[in-house]
Amino acid sequence: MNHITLAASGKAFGKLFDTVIDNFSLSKSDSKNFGPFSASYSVKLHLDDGSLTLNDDNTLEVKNVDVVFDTLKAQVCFDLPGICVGGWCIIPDPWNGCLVSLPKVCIGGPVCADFDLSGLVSNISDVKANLAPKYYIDPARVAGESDLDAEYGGHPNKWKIFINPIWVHADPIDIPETVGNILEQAVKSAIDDELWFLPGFMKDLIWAIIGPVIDLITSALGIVGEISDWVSNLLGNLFDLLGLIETAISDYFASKYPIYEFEDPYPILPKSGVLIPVKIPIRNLTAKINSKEMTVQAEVGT
Amino acid sequence: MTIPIDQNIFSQIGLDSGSLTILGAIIHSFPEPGEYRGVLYRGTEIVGAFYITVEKNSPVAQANVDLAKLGGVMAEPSKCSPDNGDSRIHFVVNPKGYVVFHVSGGSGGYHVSVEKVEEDPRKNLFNSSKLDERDIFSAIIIRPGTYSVTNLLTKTKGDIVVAYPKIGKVAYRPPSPVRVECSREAFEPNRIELQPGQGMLYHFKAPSHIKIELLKPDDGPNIRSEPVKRPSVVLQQKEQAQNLSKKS
Repeated sequence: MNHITLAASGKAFGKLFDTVIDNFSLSKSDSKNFGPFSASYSVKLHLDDGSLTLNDDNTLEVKNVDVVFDTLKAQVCFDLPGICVGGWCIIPDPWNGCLVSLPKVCIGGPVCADFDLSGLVSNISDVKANLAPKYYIDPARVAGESDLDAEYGGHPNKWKIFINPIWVHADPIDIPETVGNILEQAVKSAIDDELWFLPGFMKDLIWAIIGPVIDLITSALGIVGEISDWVSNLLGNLFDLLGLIETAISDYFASKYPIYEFEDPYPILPKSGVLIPVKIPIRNLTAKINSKEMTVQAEVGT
Repeated sequence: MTIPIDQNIFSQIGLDSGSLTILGAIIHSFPEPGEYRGVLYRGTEIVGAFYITVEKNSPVAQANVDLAKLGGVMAEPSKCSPDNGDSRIHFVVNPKGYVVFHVSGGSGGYHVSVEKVEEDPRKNLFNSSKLDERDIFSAIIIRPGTYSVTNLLTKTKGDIVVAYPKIGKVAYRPPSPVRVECSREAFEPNRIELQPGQGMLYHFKAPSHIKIELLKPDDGPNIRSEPVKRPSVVLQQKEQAQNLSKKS
């Protein structure tokens, strides 16, 4: 039999949920070698907005949460294809093409292009979750300490009600098409920086051999289609940034930031003079949702 | 991040078949089987030696002799050591094949002299300063402009015009090399028009020593200033310190 029942209206629950959303942030950086190219990124993001719906099946659903990338910087490095002089056939062979060819003198090497997509906003299209109360014993308390001593020491036991995600779905990162221009300009600058010591005619010869930079980029990186889609795939799938965001949000909701918490034993009357505080132990706490409110029920234990 | 570019590719303007650089190569055939000894010169100084075995059973149609490695400018040459521990630098080629003398890097300035080991060493079989029917001289000119080409042995002359590179909508690839025939009377063609980076292959009907010299550089439609050396960090710091002291 439940001895305690608490309820938070849908509106109140919404405010609690907003706090949870507002306190989420994620920072991550990574680098990987993908064979023909290597890449790295650094990201810092937070969540914003979103619409909350409470359902009668004991679930809540959040849609269209903005993922705001406060920082989203990436670097792509690839080998500038060898620009060669020589190598031509000197003595042709009618049977297999060339009997003697001149050795090539080639130049080339790694080129890295940085691009900054900070400020980009992506979307968590759907989060479905229920509530999961968890009993929490502060790991900071002194070993062997009684519950009461721990509370006096500022480390009380707690019941924490977490949002337990059933699924989190992050949409692909919508990279603007202008990233193609950004990447092109970054590669141009990177190559120009490397050629600074060359005389004008040599630079022009190299640029003529390189050809349009956009072709160079798509060829070197194996891009088929739009560069923006490639960058989106690079970050979202190859680096699994989408999976990382989904996991981080799930983990955060499920174990990092409770939507509500109670001390256990729950204080009824504070300590007064020589009188010790009055507290009641809470047992078997459950939390449920329906379309109107969140209800928390518990028993008074011993 | 550095794009390795051997500065000699663009800093060496002329070519001389008797003083090979990174932009020139000589192809020679040794039709007679046997053991050959080669000497590498840089100017008048001997800087290396090598051996060439020409044998009928060899499957090698092309032996590349990198003079920069032989001369010690580039990394150690690969030594083809027989089992007897002989560490001489040794190349093997089929009598129907060719030996390509080239310079992979550095400032060059090499020529080679080859003789048959068992014959009188004074009997010079091949000297890269004097090319003939069995040789081909491959040359490439990077710097756009107008050049003169002279056969120093026959005193014949010709012109070479190298076009300025154009940055187009597709990646530029230098066309196949131009074949030039050198007789006692003239170069054919006498005026050689080259696209940027396009090579030349000189074939010989007379003893030849080819020298190519820049007459008039072409700096292109939009003349760029020559590269400006980046100010060093120390220099920048000095300037900043001077500015600060002026303000104070």
